[in-house]
Amino acid sequence: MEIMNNKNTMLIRELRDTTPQWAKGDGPFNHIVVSTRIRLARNIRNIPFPFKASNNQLRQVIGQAENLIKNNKYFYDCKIIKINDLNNMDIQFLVEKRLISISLAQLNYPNRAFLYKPDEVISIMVNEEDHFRIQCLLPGFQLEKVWEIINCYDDQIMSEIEFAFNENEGFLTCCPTNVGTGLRASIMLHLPGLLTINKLNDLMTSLSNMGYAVRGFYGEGTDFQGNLFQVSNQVTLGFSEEEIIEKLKTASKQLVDEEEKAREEIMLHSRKRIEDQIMRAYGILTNARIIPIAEAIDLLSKIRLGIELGIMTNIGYNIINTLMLIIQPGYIQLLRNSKMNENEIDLVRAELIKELLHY
Amino acid sequence: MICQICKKNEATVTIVKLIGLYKTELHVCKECAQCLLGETISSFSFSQYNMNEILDNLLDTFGKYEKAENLVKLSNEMNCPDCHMTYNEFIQSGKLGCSQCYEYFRKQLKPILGRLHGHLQHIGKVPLDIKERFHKLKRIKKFKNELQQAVLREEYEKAAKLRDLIIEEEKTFKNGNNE
Repeated sequence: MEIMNNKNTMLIRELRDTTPQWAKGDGPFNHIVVSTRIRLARNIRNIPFPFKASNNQLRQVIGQAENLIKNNKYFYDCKIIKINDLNNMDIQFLVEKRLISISLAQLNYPNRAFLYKPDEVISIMVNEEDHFRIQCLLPGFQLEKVWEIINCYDDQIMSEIEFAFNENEGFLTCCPTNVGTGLRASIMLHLPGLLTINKLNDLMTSLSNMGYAVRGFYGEGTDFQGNLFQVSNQVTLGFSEEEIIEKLKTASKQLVDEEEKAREEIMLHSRKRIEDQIMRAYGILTNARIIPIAEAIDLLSKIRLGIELGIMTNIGYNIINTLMLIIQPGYIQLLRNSKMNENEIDLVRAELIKELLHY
Repeated sequence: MICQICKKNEATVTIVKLIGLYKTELHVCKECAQCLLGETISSFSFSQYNMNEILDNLLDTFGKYEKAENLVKLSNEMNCPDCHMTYNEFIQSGKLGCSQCYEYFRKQLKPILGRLHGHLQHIGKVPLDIKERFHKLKRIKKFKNELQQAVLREEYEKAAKLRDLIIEEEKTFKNGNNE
């Protein structure tokens, strides 16, 4: 047991210290699109879905994931962590790092796990709502590329494991909202321009009416902190994967175009005001001694806009993305390796931001 | 047309709801329409198109249909032979227990899938092994048609060849299934 804990501590420490590929912040349209994500919901044939499966069956599913690492060359460098071996702080950190969902963290049955590549481009949640939730995450706006990668990994898994599938409903999932392709694609956009010119609400409503879901950076139930918006498809049955992706691409591209127009308008009419806001944000972030998370996220969005508009040239997208991750409470406590109260966290947050922005 | 809810009166009202590109239609009698407009339809007017909310609303509505049809007892008794999930459990949780549930509750699921996705048939990716089996089935069907034609035309030599082909394909198909 102790050896197991040491192994997990080591893996969590590694994850704490590595920057995921998406956070590097390059990729097409990275001046507006932060990242592109696709996930596939898959279940193993002849095993009930996780909430109906016995402990033994759930263990079998984890066993299949472990076998992937042993037997398939695409997965040779993957690591697997069992959620039940972790303490609450580690679990919170994994949620904050966008590696596992809040549901996987909170589910009350044993034998939950997740598997990931060192660069975190591919990760698989095991025994969440479905047996496998395969995720691919890249920086910038690159839906086709993400689909190409995840499709290839999905094929590799299918060469080892038989998934629940029938010719009518396609890939069978625990919730009928995911059945068919099991594919959910999402684009994370930074849209301060549209918000400033008060056009965002109308655009989001029409997206919503077209069948897309709009969420914040930190997932379901969170509001739109940092002017970050995740747009994703909801329909998964009756369209091919390529069609779903193409439609989302068109809808998101429209948002990108509108945001570009909004920024042009702002720069034309109130350049000095925007520059002032960005430089003030920089001033606060590099000098504050105590900073709550909401304020930090708001100010970091301004710095991000500064980079996007070419006003801030000494900071890269990678710094902002890394900061978005490490200023969260779980991350900070893990960095300092101790349980802290809110005031202590606010102090450390200010230190971290100052350190990285001066870097 | 008979009312889709009470299954007794003539359907005189068509309730159409457009959610983006997806259209849902319900043919009901005047009484049921009044009931629905009071309850269900108001719950259909989302400010945001949220799949889970739609599912909840649908399940709620279907739960009510079952009551209206005095089918509560029946739906309680219906359970998946594989995972023993009952239809009522599905209505409560919105989750299915296993892949067999899709076969077993297909009839009940159809209207729900139709309203969630606007479609019932998967047209996306097909696992490779299933694709091969699927093509094999199609080939067997084609050979059988040709065999019938050959017999009708009294082309017995051709018919014998086709018969052998069918036997061969069926043998490998069965082996494929046993694996």
